[in-house]
Amino acid sequence: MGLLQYTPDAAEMADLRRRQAAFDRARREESRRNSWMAVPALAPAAAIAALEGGAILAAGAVRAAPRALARAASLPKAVPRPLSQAEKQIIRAEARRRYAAAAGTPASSWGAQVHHRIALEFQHLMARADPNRLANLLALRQQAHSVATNSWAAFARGLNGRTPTQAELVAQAMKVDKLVEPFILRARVARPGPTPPRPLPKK
Amino acid sequence: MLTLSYAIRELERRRLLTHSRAGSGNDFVLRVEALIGAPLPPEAIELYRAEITSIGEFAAVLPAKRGSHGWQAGADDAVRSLLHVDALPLFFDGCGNLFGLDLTAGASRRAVYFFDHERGFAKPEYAVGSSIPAFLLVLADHDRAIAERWPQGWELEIDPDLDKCPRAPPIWLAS
Repeated sequence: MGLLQYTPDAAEMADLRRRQAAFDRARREESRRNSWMAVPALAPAAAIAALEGGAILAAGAVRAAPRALARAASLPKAVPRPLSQAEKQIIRAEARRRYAAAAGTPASSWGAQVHHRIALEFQHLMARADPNRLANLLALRQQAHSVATNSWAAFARGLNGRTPTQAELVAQAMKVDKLVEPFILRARVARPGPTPPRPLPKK
Repeated sequence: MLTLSYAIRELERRRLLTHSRAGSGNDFVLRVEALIGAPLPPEAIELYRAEITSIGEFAAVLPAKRGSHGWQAGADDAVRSLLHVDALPLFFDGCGNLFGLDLTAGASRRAVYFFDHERGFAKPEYAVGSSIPAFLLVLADHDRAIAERWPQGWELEIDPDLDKCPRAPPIWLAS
């Protein structure tokens, strides 16, 4: 017996193309917003360029570095203290908005919550990393989000008041990723359902 | 004084409120009372009977039926998640946090507070409504106020008693 092949009709294809275009627009917009994050990556190269007259750098990096560094000068300084509730409130509202823009629908519309991979309690230690970059946002149902929260709470307890390093925070985020990976919800991607029942044998 | 029926009418007019209309209000009341092991205050009973499922993008914390018999354990856990701080979760904030009603014994008028999941829901972080109806109206404008950068304390226009809640200050005074 051959595999069943699903062929979408013209209306479904048009709808899919429209959603892909909307997603692409949102992705480009987020990339534009986050372009300043290229600064840390470019900074060492720019320093070498200053020392060696720019001979080492590739032409693209030479063009990009001065622009990126000039923009970095106008960025707000990293917050040297934990975020206040008012600051968190703004970040969370923006997270919901950005996730909805990227996914095409609010996470709450499919019963999910937006999870920050690096907990906002530690955001002040992540220098200039945008807490709402799409790579830092996941959609989880409440139970899976509780698993992530409990893991971060255990991590915080284990610090015994010590300030964690950025490497420790990233390692913890990756540990949580592994815990919740089977439960991450993605727009337009159906989770695998139970194995379909086998057809009855023909008599 | 704001009433729940006024708040519901206002939010329905603005198309910001959804109901389940499944006739489960009394079931919710009985289930929540069983989960928290105490009778609910009258304002919470009134809210559950209204069967509100969401205000804007904020989903209500409700027990969830599993088929025709039984209840979903996950939803039950959510209902119980603030018992250790004498509060009853009413709405999710969409990022894992909860808006919860004060259940402290003897409170004359029950305020609604924000509880932060990253702090283990350890205490009310800030007040979001001096009563349930006021809270619902404030919640409806929550994200719009942030997006449009409304001035600090805009909530007092809706809820003049917000800065008099006993367990936590309003957000602009919270740490």
